[in-house]
Amino acid sequence: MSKEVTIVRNVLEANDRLADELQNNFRVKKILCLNLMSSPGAGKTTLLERTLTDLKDEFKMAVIEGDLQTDNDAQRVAATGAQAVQINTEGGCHLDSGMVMDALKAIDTDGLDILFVENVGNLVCPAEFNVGEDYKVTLLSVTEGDDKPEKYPFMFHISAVMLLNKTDLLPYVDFDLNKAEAHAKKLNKDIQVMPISARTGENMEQWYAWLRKKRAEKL
Amino acid sequence: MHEMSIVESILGILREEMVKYDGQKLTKVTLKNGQLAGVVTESLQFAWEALIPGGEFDGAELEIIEVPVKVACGECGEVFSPDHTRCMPCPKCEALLGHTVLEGKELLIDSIEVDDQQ
Repeated sequence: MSKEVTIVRNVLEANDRLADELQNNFRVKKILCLNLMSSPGAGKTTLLERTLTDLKDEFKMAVIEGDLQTDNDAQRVAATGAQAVQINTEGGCHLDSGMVMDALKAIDTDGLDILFVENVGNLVCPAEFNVGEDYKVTLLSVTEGDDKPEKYPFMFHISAVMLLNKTDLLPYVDFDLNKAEAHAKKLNKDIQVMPISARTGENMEQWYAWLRKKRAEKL
Repeated sequence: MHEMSIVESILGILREEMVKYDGQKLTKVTLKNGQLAGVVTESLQFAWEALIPGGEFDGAELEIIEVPVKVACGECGEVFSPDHTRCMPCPKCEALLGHTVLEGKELLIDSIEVDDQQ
């Protein structure tokens, strides 16, 4: 005899449980945790290098670096003086809470103000897995096309901030900032859009102001 | 291809649930996959078929119900299902932006079927 049983359980609940645990830990320690996501090459590491350098005297910051194979990015980040821990996913397309929990063991979180989790470069899979962050931040570079939020709606839907990076290249590409913003706001009316250039430093103040505000809210 | 790790998560939940049905066999799992959940039904099915044979759930069928997006208009509150997620004009006031997503983000195990005849 066959019988049907209703369950209704969130498929990702095991990951979400660990994410909640991480979040509680960050709440107690007053650490702002950000999950940084983008396609490969959008400029996550460059953004981090500049942020870590510019805000060095203001905050104690650390980075967990997710990468498929190398530790190139962790080395670049560590060169700024911040703590950096590498997670190699061995081909895996995203980070999850368990990986972040393991990596955290190698970080001195006492007195830490901001923890950045640099996710694997990919606009699809990382969006699915919480890693204990307070906010998801997505970078979109102007060399990628302004229709990306339309094509990858979930990532933009769940992000608090969309950084439009590489604005110094706008004269050379067909990228419509307004169009990208409108597409992102279709599914996420609250998303904050910040055009920046992590390379030249243009408009980075807006991003820093957001970081300061969100960090202050954790206290 | 995060569908592989999603199937691993599903198997974890099924193992927990099947403790209640000791000695019975899992024959079917029904999953709800929201159109906005970022999970490809075909890839999930593929991952299921790759991981299931030879294991404790060998032979179990995976049925995936795709849940369409349902939104409430950000301007007038009208609830509607857009034809696609790229352009979602409100059928009542034609507003394009600022809608609230009510359904379509979920990824849930909805039900299972167990059989007591081994």
